[in-house]
Amino acid sequence: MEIAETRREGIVVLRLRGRLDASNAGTFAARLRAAIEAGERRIVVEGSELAYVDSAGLQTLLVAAKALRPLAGRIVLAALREPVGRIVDIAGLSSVFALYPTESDAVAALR
Amino acid sequence: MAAMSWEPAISFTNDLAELERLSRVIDEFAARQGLRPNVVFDLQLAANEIFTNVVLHGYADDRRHEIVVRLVADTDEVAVEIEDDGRPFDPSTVPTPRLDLPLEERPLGGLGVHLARRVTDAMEYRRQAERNIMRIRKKLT
Repeated sequence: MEIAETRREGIVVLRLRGRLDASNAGTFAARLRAAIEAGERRIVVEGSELAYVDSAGLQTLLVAAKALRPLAGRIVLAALREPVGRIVDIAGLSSVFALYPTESDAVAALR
Repeated sequence: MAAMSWEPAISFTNDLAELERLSRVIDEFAARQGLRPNVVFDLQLAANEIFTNVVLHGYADDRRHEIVVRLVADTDEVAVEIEDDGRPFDPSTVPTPRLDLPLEERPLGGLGVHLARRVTDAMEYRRQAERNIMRIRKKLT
């Protein structure tokens, strides 16, 4: 998996490419933790090139959301494609994460 | 009617780095069988979740263990069998996590088995000769 980090209007955008699974979820978790510790409070995870996600990957997002909540921060998901979007839904996370059709929509919502 | 066909068993080690190869093996099987993309993804997800559980929770030691994977194609369904020599564990006993809870109370565990169960048609566990054998079945229609 590759993680490309950009910043748009004070919002961190992490674009994921490839597979997010138990073998690399730790790397992604560390990246999210570092961003939150560095003071980031608004994070967009962009998944237009994310081909695969498993429970370990989803748990990483859940941990970040839990960490951000008391800090009045937010992490949202954007541009998920199938079947990743379907798995997020089956995991019951579409009620936890705001989902946006595009990265720009997500950035606009967090602005 | 075509007979059930078993592919040769494939040997893996108890290492999460093997997840990518496991998915690739299922991809290649799917290509040979002409499976639809959603079926392939669901099989990969379920197999990976079971494999991950075995690697993370299956062993009391730090030694190398073999995990054997078998792929089976039948006329109306495909199956993946995952066999390990870890401690006895029947994933079907894992309760379904509460998915209606608010973020603060949402548990972090139990999600893998839930996903595997939801994307497949059957998960059959048996303990045989000191080994766990988990069969994941997915209908083609």
